Amino acid sequence: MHPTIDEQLRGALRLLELLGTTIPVPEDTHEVLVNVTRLLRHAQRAAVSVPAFHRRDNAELTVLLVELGEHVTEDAAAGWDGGDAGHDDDATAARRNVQLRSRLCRVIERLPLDASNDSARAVVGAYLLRRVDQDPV
Amino acid sequence: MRDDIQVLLRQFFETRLDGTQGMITNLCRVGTGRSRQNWVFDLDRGDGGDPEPLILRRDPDGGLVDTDRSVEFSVLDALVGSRLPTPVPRWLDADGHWFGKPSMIMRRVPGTCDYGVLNGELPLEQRVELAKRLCALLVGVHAVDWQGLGLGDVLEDPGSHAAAAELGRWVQILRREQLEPYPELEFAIGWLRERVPDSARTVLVHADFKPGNVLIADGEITALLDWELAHLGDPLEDLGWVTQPLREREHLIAGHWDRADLVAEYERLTGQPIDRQALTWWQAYSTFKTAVMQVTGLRAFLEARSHEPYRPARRVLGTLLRQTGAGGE
Repeated sequence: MHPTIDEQLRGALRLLELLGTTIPVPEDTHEVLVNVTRLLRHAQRAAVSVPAFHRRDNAELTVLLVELGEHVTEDAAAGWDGGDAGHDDDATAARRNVQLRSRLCRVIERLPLDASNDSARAVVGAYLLRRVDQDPV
Repeated sequence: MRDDIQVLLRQFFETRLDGTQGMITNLCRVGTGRSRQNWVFDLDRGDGGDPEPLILRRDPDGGLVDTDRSVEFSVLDALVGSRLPTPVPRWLDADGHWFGKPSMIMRRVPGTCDYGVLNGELPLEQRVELAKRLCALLVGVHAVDWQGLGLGDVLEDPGSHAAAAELGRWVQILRREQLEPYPELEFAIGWLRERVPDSARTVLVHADFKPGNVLIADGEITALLDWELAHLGDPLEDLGWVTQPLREREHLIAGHWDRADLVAEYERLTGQPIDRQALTWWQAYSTFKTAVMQVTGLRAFLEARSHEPYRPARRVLGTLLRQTGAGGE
């Protein structure tokens, strides 16, 4: 169905660029226009790629957390919901991603800060670096 | 906005000038600073003397950091007695009673600031010389006799635990402002807590030292601005800030004034060796602080207190992770 979300965002960006190049505006207004344009570009990229990113990230996080469950105390692993996330709709995938990231935070906080957990920190650090590089937002 | 400020200034000075009514002239808003709104003007008291060149700095709605304007005013007031080139504070509106938001009026100093000056249009020789002067200025900040100037009455002395105190402060800010979990920041916090160094000495820390906060006129540094984050602490905090990877373009000149040059010059001027391991910690801390400022900026934007759409940036998080042990570094 047209216009799609992507088409609407592209259209908004085109109009903003037209505004920025044809109508002289005060410096403060120009700054706001630059910020609006930047936000819309982010939204355009996110609308296309974020849902798939969340599903991939949820799958990888699930594996990571189960793996880390061997390195943390019982109370950190208790209550873990490792249910199947492969069929989540976009909103559920986003919520599950927040849930999983919150769980990872708690695991990280409870990782003992000594050499015995160097391998766990290395695995977590490698995952986080990959995620930062791949995050479309 | 300009007419409103004109009215507000007139009302303010009616109560401040011992019954006389100074004339405000040449009022003009300047810059689009992310942390302050600035208006320059001249105050003519009508007593035959020269008009006083002044600048009004007013807090924005959603600044990246909440700071106490009265503390900044007290710091600047104390520094009038030092040899540092700092603006003279003249009046304070600590709670925004007069100007709508906390504000300060300072004597205006000639010069311009350019955050990119070290990698700008000046000849290389001048830029390297300027870089050395900036290093000397930083040494001067840390050499201030803060006890003699009474800054111990205004600022808390953390003693040898400055690193732990600052890390704790920014973790607290993160907890207050974050809207979602950030495992990347938790990973960094763990590393930072494990390695927090003790401080060898306590100095006045500027905490946002950069060319963008320095006024330069005719090649000379005329003022170091923006003391809102100043506090007592470890000099390596400032040195870590200016040598952190995220700010290389601001503080270094590739191939001509590198990180090692800056640190060596600082050591030469102070006569004291720098603990490189501690400096590495403060560099990672600087990146963490930047990430937390972006988190607060995001919240301010989403709550419509700011017009700047901040968010924790990929480059910041990636740098922080690498500095705190991710990726095998």
